[in-house]
Amino acid sequence: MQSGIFERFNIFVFVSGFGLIAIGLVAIYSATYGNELVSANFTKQLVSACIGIVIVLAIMYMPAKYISMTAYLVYALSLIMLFAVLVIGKKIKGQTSWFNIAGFGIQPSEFAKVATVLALAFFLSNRNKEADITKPRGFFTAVGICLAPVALIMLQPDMGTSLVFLVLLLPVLYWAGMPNYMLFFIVAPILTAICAFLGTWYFVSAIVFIVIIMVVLKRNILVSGIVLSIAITAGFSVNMVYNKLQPYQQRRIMSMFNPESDPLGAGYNVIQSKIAIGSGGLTGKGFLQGTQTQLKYIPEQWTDFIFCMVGEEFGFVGSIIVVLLFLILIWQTIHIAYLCKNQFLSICCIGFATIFSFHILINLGMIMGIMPVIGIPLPFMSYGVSFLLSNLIMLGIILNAYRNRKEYV
Amino acid sequence: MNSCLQHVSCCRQAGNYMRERARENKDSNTDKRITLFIFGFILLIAVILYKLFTIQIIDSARYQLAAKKQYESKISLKPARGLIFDRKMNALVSNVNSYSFAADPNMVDNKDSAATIFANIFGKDKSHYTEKLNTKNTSFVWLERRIDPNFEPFVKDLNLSGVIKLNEQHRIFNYEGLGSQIIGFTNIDNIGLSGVELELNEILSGKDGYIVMQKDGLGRKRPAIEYPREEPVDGNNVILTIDMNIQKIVEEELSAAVNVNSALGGKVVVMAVKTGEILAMNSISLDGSSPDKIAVITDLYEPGSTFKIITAAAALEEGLQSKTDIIGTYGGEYMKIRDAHKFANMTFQQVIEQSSNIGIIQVANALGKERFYKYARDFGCGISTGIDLPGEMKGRLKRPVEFSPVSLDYMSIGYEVLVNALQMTNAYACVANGGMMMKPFMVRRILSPDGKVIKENHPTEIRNVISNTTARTLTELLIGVVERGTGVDAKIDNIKIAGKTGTSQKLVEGEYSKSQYTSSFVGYFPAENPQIVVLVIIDAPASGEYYGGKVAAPIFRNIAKRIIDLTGLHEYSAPDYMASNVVLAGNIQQYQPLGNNNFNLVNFDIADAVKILNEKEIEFVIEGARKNAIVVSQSEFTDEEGVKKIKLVTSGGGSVTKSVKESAVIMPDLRGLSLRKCINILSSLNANYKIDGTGKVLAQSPQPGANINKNQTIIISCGY
Repeated sequence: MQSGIFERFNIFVFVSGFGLIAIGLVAIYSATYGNELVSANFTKQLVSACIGIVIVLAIMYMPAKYISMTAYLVYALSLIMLFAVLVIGKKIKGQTSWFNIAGFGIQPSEFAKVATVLALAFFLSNRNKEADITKPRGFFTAVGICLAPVALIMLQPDMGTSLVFLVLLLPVLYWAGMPNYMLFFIVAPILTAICAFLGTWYFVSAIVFIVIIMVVLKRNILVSGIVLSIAITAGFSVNMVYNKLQPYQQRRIMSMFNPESDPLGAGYNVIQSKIAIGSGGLTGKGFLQGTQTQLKYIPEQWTDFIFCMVGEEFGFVGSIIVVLLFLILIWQTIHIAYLCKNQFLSICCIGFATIFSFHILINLGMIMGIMPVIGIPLPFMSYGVSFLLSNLIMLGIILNAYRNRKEYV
Repeated sequence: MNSCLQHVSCCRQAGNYMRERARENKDSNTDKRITLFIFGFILLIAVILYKLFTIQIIDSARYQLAAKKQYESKISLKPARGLIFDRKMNALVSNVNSYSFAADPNMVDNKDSAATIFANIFGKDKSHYTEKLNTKNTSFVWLERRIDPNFEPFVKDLNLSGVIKLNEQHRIFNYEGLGSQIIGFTNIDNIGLSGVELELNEILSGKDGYIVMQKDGLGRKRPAIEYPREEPVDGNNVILTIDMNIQKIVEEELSAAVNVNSALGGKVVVMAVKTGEILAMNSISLDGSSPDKIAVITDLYEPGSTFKIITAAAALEEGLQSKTDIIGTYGGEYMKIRDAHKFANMTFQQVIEQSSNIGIIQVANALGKERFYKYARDFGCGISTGIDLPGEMKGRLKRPVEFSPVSLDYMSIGYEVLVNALQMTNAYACVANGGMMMKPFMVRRILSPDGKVIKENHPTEIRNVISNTTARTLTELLIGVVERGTGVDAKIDNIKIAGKTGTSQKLVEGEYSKSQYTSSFVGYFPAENPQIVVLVIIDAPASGEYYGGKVAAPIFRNIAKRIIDLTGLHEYSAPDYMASNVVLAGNIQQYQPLGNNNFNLVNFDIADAVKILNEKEIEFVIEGARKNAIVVSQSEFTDEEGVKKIKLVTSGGGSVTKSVKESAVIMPDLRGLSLRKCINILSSLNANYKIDGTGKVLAQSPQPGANINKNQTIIISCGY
């Protein structure tokens, strides 16, 4: 294994994280180039990244117990902030997600992601009985920790960010020891509902799949029957609810699955982003030479659609480099989760890896037209001070976990 | 392939976990779980890579086409072309706006009705427009360009989807085409074709701006304003060395002379001796060549006797001759050459004054071909003058090795050598300037649209050709030509003129014609301290007289006399002549402030001037007669109420004030409107506007109800 300084410092995580930030800065520079209204965004992001280095190193060299001991406190604080933002926050584009502190917009929901993972990890790493997630009490407490911020964020309303918390829950619970059958019980109805929505054949296949898995798992017939009937009910009710919606609501949902069906609305951005990265080809059009980026076909490209710039101006080669950096970062994070003997930090790592992976999947998927447009930014790269700092806090904790991987407490 | 590799490495990694696990004796469940995470993650990355590969490599061509289509829906916004001024800041050209119509065929909703509307308005066949509107694979077709102003009322409110109304500019000359040959012409796209317009096209044309037509990936209209718009940058203004008063004299006299002499054409160059500035020049060619050809620099001719100055200069400079040396002239007949005067002997001074060919040939032979060639070259024969105009021909001067046995003889009297009129003028200017040759130039300054000096051309010395003494002697000889010799017709009372006549047989179909001559006169004044050099060439005069002394010298006299009357012989030597702000007598020199809406009413009949001002809705005051009078000056002032007015002074007494109310445009209340609607309203007002932010209009400046004028920029700020 590594020796010397690298024995306690995971250079892969550090370099891939800041490498992505650097590419992100280049992309923000290009996307805001010649646009006076937003050209300050580059500087803001650069300053945040510099402050971020200090934060990352501070967290990394912190004793691990400081992190676990303050987990609930941080969680409580983030809930208070989420509540406060609803009362005194600034409404931007129909969402009340922002505080304005000294010219910087602070978005509490970004920090709440980290806080919730910390709180969940702290709860699940307890050795006492209350934390046994195979029992209803332990399970529902864990779900509750996760759903409290979701409820507050839904009020903003910010569906995309809420979804991150929900997706986070299963992998964390699973890593914390949730049995396979429980995982399956939860996944089955969700899978059925989505498949039912996509069409009859998907629905039938999903049911067949569930039956096969149940045979493999060999649970008793009663439990299996209940799971199957819940799944089928979920499938039918999705279509019933959908049919009762107003046509415009239906259109909006459809455009999430098929952007081309609404080229003037939600689909517009996706069509434009595909044109941008597609026209970049193998090696791209060159820095500041992207016609789609420079002519600003994609509104606010420096946030959620930042990857378009990389795809257009640096081509497939640039895209691959970004994806490889993410691959290294997340792979290492999962690896650290595995190595780490401190269960709290190990669960944290899995939580963060899930957050990163989900963001990447949804964001790149959205840009390539295979995921709905729900406003999920690209970690380390998208413009956003709160978002970048929350990412760097996670990076710091991951590095801390690596540093302390051989300690049990 | 990538995902394959990852699978392999993943398996290897999973193997490592197993081994490590076994060592540490951990819960075996953890291994399965981490493997699930790893495989889930690998699947995710594989899907992303696959999709990236599909979009960026496999389907790239398709997306590149789509991008190009969008990119092509960019439409240029044309800047105002820079203006051209004379040395006294008279704007010589104006930009006039006219409407043009274009269409994006993909965006016209109802092509049939659009074609019908256009056919009805412009009285053309409907199919003419239908055809254009159905053009494939383009997002831009012209429907009508530079429509007749008569149609303007009918198209004012025309607002068809996909039809673009463009305000196109084109050039007009401000002084009825005066100076048009030098200024040059522009084409329908406002690109310079000739003269200064061509030479300085890039400087004058400015930078295009653009708007992006709002189209989505399916080629449909998309109402969005977040698309970029770049304002055009207006062209730079050019100030010439030309003096329009002198140009006017030159054009009038030349045109009259060509008529009187029934000539094929003619050329005149007027140059400032000490600086090399061209003050005026023009040419007329009735041989069917283009009227915008600047024949002064593009046409070559054999200069004849005017060229003798070079032979004489060489002989004097080399010390071979003095004014009083006697030269044998063989009774006026020597080999095949004849003189007009039959003298056996002449002094060198007489040779020049009477323009004796035989005498000059003796001088040239004493000089020898090498020395002769050196001086001819130094005087600029066969070398471009470097004038800042397009198309100069540098002429032809044979090198001594190319000389035939008779070349030196003929060349010394101005045959077998080809020069352009400007080269010949500059040779005389060099003598007038004490032997220092200056580089002729036409562009004095280049100013940015807001009046800053971008480039300033200063007089440039080329070389010292002859000594001051030699130049002085030559001037004395040339004074004699006008006082007693062949150029007496150029004489003006009280002013000493130095000049030389020239009459050369034209080469017609390879032979020297006995009926077609080039008659010329070149001279400068005042001879004691030369300021201005003038060259006059009349091409093939056909009404009897053909000697330069008879045909060209009187024209020179007329021009010189009028210039002297005009300027009072102001010195054309100070490099900053223009800034010295001299106000001269005459009609057309009035200072005009810079700006592209310039117009000059001086010289207009007062009735026409009033009509124009009323049309432009400009308030004005007239000083002097209001009927049967000519505007003699125009100025701008601000009255007690702070209203800008124009003051016209006419040739007559009395003062009448007339005010025309500026048509008031009232600022509408735009607050709360959608940005799109707001832009529509502002466009209909023809107003300049700037928009900050997106969403709904939150604030506006000026406030609703305020008067707005056409040059004001309206600021709209938006938000949600």
